[in-house]
Amino acid sequence: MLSTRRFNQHGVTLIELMVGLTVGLIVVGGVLSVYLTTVKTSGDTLKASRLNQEVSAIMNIMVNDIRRAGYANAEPSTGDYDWDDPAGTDVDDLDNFQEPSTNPFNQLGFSALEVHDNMTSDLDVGSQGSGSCILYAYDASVGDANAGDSNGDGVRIREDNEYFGFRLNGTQLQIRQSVDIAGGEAPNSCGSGSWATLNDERSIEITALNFDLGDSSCINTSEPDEVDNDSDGYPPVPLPAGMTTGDILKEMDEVDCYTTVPGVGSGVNTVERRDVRITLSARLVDDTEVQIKNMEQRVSVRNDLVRVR
Amino acid sequence: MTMNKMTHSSLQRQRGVASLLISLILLVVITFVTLYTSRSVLMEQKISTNEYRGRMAFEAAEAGIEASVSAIGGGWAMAADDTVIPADDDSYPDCLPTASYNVIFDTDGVLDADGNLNPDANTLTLANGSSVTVTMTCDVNEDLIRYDITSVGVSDDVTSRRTIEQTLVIIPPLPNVPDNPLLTRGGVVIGGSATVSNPEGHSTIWSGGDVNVGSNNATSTAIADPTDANYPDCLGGSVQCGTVPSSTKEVTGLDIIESDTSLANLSSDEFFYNFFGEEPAAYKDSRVTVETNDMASQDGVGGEIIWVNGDVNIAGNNTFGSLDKPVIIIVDGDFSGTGNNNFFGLLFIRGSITGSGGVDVVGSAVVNGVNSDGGGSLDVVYNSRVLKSTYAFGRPAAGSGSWRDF
Repeated sequence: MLSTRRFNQHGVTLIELMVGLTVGLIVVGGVLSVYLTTVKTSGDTLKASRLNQEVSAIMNIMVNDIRRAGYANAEPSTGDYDWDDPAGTDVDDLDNFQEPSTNPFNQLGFSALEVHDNMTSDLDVGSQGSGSCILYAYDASVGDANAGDSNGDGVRIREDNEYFGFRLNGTQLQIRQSVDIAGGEAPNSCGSGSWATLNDERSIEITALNFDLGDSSCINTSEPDEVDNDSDGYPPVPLPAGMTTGDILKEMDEVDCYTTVPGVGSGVNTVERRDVRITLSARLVDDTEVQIKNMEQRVSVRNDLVRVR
Repeated sequence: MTMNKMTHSSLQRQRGVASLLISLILLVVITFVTLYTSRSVLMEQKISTNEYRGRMAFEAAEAGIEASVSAIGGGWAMAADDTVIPADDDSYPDCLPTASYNVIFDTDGVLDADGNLNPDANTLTLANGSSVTVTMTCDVNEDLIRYDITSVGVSDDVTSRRTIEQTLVIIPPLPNVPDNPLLTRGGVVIGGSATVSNPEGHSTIWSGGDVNVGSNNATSTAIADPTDANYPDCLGGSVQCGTVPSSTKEVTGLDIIESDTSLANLSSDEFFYNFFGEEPAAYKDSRVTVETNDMASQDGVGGEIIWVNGDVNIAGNNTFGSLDKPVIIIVDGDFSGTGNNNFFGLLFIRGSITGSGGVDVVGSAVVNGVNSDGGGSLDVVYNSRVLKSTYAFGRPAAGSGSWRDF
């Protein structure tokens, strides 16, 4: 018994050892590679989902907020207030119908939605252009007429922190929090105001941001006015006797006030529906391979811009 | 021996323990990594689902607003229990400023006997399972009707809810209501008889030309009676003042204004613009609801803006509009008639009144040319309530700047 035991403790042969080691290595190697693959794909998945979540959250914020541009409370609970009487001296003039062209949050060149090419050159791209900075305002506090004109911009319900905007500043996407009107800052400038960065700049960088107004439309509500504004022969001027509605309809191409721009001082009313196509590209800072290219969403601003030309 | 064999074999097997342990540890780690990843992925999925439900609720709320806007454009009816029903008639709800109304939808698509919408529920369920409830308040002020619509959309699993508010203003078809029963730019020649009364004021005939009241004994004008018990509240009130006679064929009172250059100097289009706020062609294109060459075909119609092309020579007895549902009739030419024709609302004649026959107007008659009633009789009773009721079939317009979802 004892002798057998001792004999058995002899050790292994070289061949046995080699085979055992090889088999062991193959097994461990296989498991290791599965492990590495899992860890890597998990890492990739986590990175991608992190980027995805953050970018779509930013996109949602932009879409939901831009949609509200131009909202102005017509009837603050605290008192009578007229858009066309912004100083609020005439409190008895209770008006059921606020004249849309006097909307304090839709004044062209001040509070109305604008897209600028970028924050450094800060050029207004016009009603159908595109750029990386957007500016707008809305009555986020649902205006309190009794609050007084705190910022001295002449409108009681318009506050400093109701001028919003988004811009691309380097690799940061920023939202505007307020503009110091009393301090002389212009609301229609992408450089002015205080801005906060939306993306976590340590982990995510925004590589491209674009606001495109190309799908916007403009309607001249004064048409048909029996004047051949676009010189295409319709309608004939002066209008011959017996001209029918069908003939008048041929003037309808003049309704589009982006193609046939009404003259300054013509007094015609135009209604603009602003459509913003937002495109956003982003990537991870520490792994630039993980990226989102041209995530796109379209938002139609609900409160149209009404202007008297 | 058995023991020995077992020890022997287990000793031999111990050679793989290292590999086994390493493999086991790695597998456990892999499991944890996978679990962690799937937890994150699940979380992401939850976020996406929330976003989807949120969007669904938002779209449902938007649909509610759109449905209400189009229903207001098509007219409403009001039931006794403070509910507003989109219907195919042209009446608008009497606006009670303090009340809040539920909007009732036709959810089953079953029409009533007249082929109208048959509203049955105040929650509308959309095809994707989301639903929407709409309430509104309404206000009349400075002769404008305003609806404040609140639409609450709920996602299919009732986890997400979005509220959207929008104001709708009814743009009146007659922004400048005439103040006089009979207004002419050209002048008035009464061949037959005429009674013109204004229980709401002190002027009856306002003319840009001469007024010739003729020689008929029955011709007279009447103005609001200052001794009326309700005076002056009855001026323009729901209960009209009594009237006192003012002018007759012999006496021309202060109630008749003639040869007013401020009227005579207007062009035909300017005269039209003065009342309708738009050029005739634009108004016809955008606001008129019925365009016809045969005026008699509109007998009994109410709540419409009727444009009649060319001269009208109408025969027989017709009634246009009613006290509750007046009409605006624009005759783009001369008007003459036989028989009795009754009008409730505004009769606007772009030419002249030339013929005879009886013409009864409750509301106001405005004549661009000369009003000469031939041998017939013309009876006009001014009624601002009837004229203002025409606001109800005005064009609804979304108040720009009123949309909000926060």
